[in-house]
Formats: sequence, C-alpha cells, structure tokens
Amino acid sequence: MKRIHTIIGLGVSILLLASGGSSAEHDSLFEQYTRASRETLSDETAEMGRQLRTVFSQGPVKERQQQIDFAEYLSHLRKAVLYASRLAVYGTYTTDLRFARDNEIFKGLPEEPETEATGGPPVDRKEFVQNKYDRMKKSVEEEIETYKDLILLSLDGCESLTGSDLSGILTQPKHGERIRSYITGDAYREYRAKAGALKKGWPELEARIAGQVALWQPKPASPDTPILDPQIIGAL
Amino acid sequence: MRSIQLTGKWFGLGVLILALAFAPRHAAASAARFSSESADRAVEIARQSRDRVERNGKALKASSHEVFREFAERTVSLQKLIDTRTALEKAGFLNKGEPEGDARRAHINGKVLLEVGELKKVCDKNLNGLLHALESFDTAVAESLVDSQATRSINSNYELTLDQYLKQEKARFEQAATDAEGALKAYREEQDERAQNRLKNRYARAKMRLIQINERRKLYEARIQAAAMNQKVTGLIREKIRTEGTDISSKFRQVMANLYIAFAKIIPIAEVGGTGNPEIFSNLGFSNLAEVHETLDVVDGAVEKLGRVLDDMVTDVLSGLGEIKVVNENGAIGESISIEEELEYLRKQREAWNG
Repeated sequence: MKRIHTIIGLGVSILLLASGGSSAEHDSLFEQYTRASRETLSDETAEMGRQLRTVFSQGPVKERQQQIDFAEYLSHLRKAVLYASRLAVYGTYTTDLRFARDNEIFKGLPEEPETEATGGPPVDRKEFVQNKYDRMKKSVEEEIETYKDLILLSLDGCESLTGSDLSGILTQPKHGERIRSYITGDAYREYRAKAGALKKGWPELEARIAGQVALWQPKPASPDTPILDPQIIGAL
Repeated sequence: MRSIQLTGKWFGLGVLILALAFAPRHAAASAARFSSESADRAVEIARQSRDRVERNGKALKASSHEVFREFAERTVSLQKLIDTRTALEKAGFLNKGEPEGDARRAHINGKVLLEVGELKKVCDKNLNGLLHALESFDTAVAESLVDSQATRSINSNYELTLDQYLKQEKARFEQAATDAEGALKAYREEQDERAQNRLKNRYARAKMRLIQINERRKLYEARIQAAAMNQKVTGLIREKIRTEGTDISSKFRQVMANLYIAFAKIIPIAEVGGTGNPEIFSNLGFSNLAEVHETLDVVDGAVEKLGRVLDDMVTDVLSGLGEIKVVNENGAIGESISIEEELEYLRKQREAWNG
C-alpha cells in the first residue's frame, strides 16, 4: 500500500514538473520582455526589420505568385487540349451513327439470320441495330456533355488568368518557351490534327483554344511580319 | 534401335493423349474468357484509371506532407509568440504611447513577422516540388478521366450483346418446350408399352435440352447483372475522378496562391520597417495572420479530402458484386414420370422466361 502511494506521489510530482516546465518556458519569454531595456529591444527590432526586408522583398514573392499562376494556367490549357482532342472524335457523331444504323454496319452485329445455317432461332437484326444505335447515341451524348463541361472549366480557368494578367505570366519569356515546347509536343500535335473536326461540331470551343495559343505566339519582328501565326489563322 | 523407335512411338502417343485431354478444356476456357472479355475490359480500364490517380495522389501526398509538416512545426512557434503577446497586452506591458510599451510592441510584432517569414521560407523551399507533383497528378487525373469515359460504351455494348443472347436463348427455349410438351402428351395418350418407352426417351432428350438452355439463361442473367453492376462501379469511378480529382490540384495551387497573397501583405511593412523606421511595427494589425491560420485550415482540409477520396473510392460499391449467385437446379429424369410434376416444371420454366 505504501509502495502504491509512493508511485502515485512520484507520478504527480513528474506531472507537476512537466506542466511547470512549459509554464516556465512561457514565462521566460514573457519575462524577457518585461526585463529587457528599451534600447536593447529597439536595436533588436531594427535588426529584425533588416531581416524582414530580405525575406519579404517584392521580387521573389511576385516571382512565386507568377510560378503558381503559370502552373495553374498550363494545367488548364493542357486539359482543355486533351479533352478537345477526344471531343473532336464526336464532331460528326449524329451523321456517323445514323449512317451506321441505316447501313447496319455496327461492330459486333449478329450475322444474317442463322436459322437454317446453325439451327438456331432467327435474329432480329433491325431491332438489334436500333437498340445499338440508341445505346451508342446515349453513351456518346453523355461523353460529349462531360468533355464540354471539362473544356469549358479549363478554358474559363485559362481566360481568367490571361484576361487580367495580374501576376504578369504572359510577359515572362520562360513561360512562352514552355508553352511553345508544349505546342510542338505530341499532345498538341494530336489536337491540331483533329482541330478541324472540333471546329465542325463546336466552333466556339475551337476558337477559344486557338485564342489562348495565339497569346503565346512571338511578337512580329517587323511591320511586314503577319501578326498571327498562319497556322493559328487557319485554325481560326 | 527398335526399342528406341518403340519408345518414340509411345512418347508420341502420350503427347497426343495429353493434347487431346487438354485441348477441349483450353478451348472452353478461351470461349469463357471471350464471353466475359468486354465487361472485364471496362472494369479493368476503370480500375487502372483509379490506380493511376491513386499512385499519383500518393506522390502528391508525400510531397505536400513535407511542406505541411514543416508548416505545422512553425505554426507552433507562431502560436507561442501570439500567446505571449496576448499575455503582455493583458498585463499592460504593450500600452501604446508609453515608450517602453511601444518598444516591446514593435519587438514582438517584428518577431511574429519573422516567424511568418519562416513559413514563407518553407513554402519557397518546397514550391517547385509541390507544383511538379501537382502537374503529375493533374496529368494522371485527366488521362484517367479520358480512359474511363470509354467504359460507358463498352459496358453498354456488352449489356446489349448479352441481352441479344438471352433473346436467342428464349426462342430456343420455346422450341424445346413445345417439343417436350408434344412428347409428354403423346406419352400420356400412348397405350403401347414400347411406343411409350420411345416417347419417354424423346421427352427426356427434350427436357435435357431445356435444362441446358435454362443453365445458359442463368449464366446470361448473372452476366447481365454483373454488367449492370460494372456499369455502376465504372460510373462511380468516372464521376469520382471527374468531380473530386479535377479540382484538387487547383485547390492546392489556390492555397499556395493565398499564402503568397498573405506574404505579399507584409512586403510594404517590411520595406518601411527595414529602412530605419522599426516603430512602424508597433502599429501593425493582425488580420493577415488570421488569414494565414485560415489558409492552413484549408490546406489541412484539402489534404484530408484527398486521402479520403483516394482511399475509399470504390471499396464500398465493389462489395455488391458478391451478391450474384447461380441457382442450383435438379432436372434429372427418374425411371417414372409424373406428368403433372413435369407439366408444372415446364410451366414454371416458361414463367421464368417470360419474367
């Protein structure tokens, strides 16, 4: 029993010491302020001011803000281009699907009536074709809606950043280089190959993407140089 | 020499037997694989998409964890300074207009700002890595989203094909059921024992066919059920990636942008305070620090959300797949036939087919 009391007592002492320690630490900072002379505090404040000026100089902060904004912009542009490449595939989907239905050329369509050939019951090809058409139309329309929604989100993101370019991302040569490097890459090349089809189905989306890319074209070197890249003009 | 030839012959025969034994099973396996290939493909695509997002999400979590761990450490120091400042103010040691109070106020405000500067250093140090991880995450989400879009059509086509098979099987069933009924009626009316025996055999064959068709019906129905479940699962993955995944990286970047907006607020104070007018610190408000705290809450929420989205993405819905069962059926014909029972069997089968 006595031993238990000793252990409890020891535990309480440790707890008191521990809480007292943190309180002492807090008090020490408090007391440091109450004890420090005005001159010492003023000298240290001046030194802190100098340090703050280094840490919070405008240039690096602005540069970081630009970096974040450009990352956001590039992300949106890449997504808009990727989704637009996929959407372009459905540029003429109504005509294509109707053609497939009318000519019964859907993939996976059952062979001509197998009654005699295999001994099985006849297949209603017309009904199957119509069902396939209806299902594919529904699936394609849902996909189109998803892609349109995502492209619009991304384009809005791009345009809000370049429309009022507060952080100055458009003026940075390194950003221009990055975009031009992206434009010469596979993803954008794939999009360019399909841009015509996108224009047929959704001209406003194609124009908005072209408008964003045009922002990054190098400025004309002489008055005779065309203002826009001929490739972009073609797209517009 | 002769024994070698004999051994060769036996070996050849053994190979042939093995080939014959395994060939049909292999062919059956191939057929089974082919029949469920489309649904598996859709699920596989959806799972690969989820895994890709999850993998990149983990990389992003690791990268952001580094930033926010250091952040958490610095905010403890910041909180301690703010607590001391509050205590000093309460005790009347920071009174404005008193030279001692102004000096203390300027000093502790400067210290608080330096601590915010430490937070900024953490951001500066980790920003490149974080933005890079966000870019990879973005790419993974976008590509996974594109891949998973295809699952909608794959599932739909698979369902349609199964539906078509089921219709064909129903037509086959009608034919076999008519044959069975005919044989059963003829058996009932026949008086001659030998002829009765032949008719019984005819009915037994027709019934066997019905049983086979019935088993296939159950298989197709189970597959249609699985396809519907797959459609649901892949649809959920698609929507999760679309609704949750697409804005996570933007939110992260927004959090970082907000932090730099808060840091930028200190610039004018730092510029004036660092040019020999440290007393400017004594007039500081603390709204910017409140913003930092708010931003940290948002950061924490975003990281938490990312984890939840990726970890619990589909586990809850996949469990439903286990509910599909194939019902056992005993259709063997014994030595004697109860016509009523058999007619009842045919009636029930027809009911099952007609839904």
